[in-house]
Amino acid sequence: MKLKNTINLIDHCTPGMILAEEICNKQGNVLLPKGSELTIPLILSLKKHGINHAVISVEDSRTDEETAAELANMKIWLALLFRNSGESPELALLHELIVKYRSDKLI
Amino acid sequence: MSSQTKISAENLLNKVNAFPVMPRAVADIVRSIDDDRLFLGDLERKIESDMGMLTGVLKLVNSARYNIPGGVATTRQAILVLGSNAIRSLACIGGVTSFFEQQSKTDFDIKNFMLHNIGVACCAKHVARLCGVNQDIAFIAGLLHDVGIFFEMTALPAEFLVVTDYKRTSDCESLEAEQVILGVNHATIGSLLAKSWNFPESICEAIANHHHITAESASSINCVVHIADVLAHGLDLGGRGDQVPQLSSFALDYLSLDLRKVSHLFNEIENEFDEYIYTLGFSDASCNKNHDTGLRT
Repeated sequence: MKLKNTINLIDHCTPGMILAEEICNKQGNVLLPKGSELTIPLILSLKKHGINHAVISVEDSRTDEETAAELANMKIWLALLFRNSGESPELALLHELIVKYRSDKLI
Repeated sequence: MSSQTKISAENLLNKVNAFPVMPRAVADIVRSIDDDRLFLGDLERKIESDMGMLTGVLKLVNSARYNIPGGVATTRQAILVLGSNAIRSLACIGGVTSFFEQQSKTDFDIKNFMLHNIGVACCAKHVARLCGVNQDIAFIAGLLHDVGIFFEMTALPAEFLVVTDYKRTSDCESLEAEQVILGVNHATIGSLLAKSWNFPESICEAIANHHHITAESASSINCVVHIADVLAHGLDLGGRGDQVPQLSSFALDYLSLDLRKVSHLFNEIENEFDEYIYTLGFSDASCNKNHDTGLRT
């Protein structure tokens, strides 16, 4: 089973979700270790601690083809945004950097 | 068609002078950015006298971004925790957004427009920080850079429709369409408006030059706002799908900025932007696909 990580708002977390990263408070103390399963009391307690996000690990149901399609769509979209960059080397570099950033996020 | 929609300089000035002024408290806070002698009590009173600023500050201070244990209930607490400079930026988001929303009597999408402004403000702040430029001035200048477009939507709605049509059919930048249809562009209009509101010189200059940096017009803030505008389009903050405007290599040289260094900030910029629009209740208007299911590797 392939896994992927998503950043969820605490308000969108539901019991049974598995933490992909530990949750720390502002002082850097670990409140919940990586791999913990969320329950309703835990979610409420995190909210009380002022935590608003959790990184959850979920099953990556995308097939390789779907991932490839998402990548391709992203590239088409960016090419559209940068359609009038012309010969500008600066915009070409920015385009390349954003494609790389988005690809890293998708895979 | 275009000759009928052209705006004469005199007509434009009259319209600018007749345009509703920004609420005094909000304008005072924008004006205070050059002034280090702002008293905390003054800042507090000003924020509390404007509903938009007050709710904006309290919502944003209590957002996940700052993660303050126990939360913040008063403006004074907010200022003490985050410092007056950061609070000024947050107050401006709230104040400017509610002013724009109140004044817009048109069908144009103010939310979408605000998303772009907040996106540019976030980019400007991070780029400024990277270059050692005053990040709070950069943030506020970014927030207000397109105020000329707001003027067009509100004071020249019929002409603005023609501009957007022209922009769509000839696939050009707003600036070019405005020049053809109105004979004047939103950067010029915006700086006139900012001047009529007695905004600081640095803000007026940044608005006037955000599409065009030359040796005469280059200053750190102008260059930061120009680059931030291009970045916000490239990262598609707000998801309007507008084409990315031209990037001045002069501005990059002026700040000796390497775009590769900027690319390390993309994630932080997007997170801050998402946080603001989520907190302000704009997230439903955003087409940003990465919002709150953003993938991490």
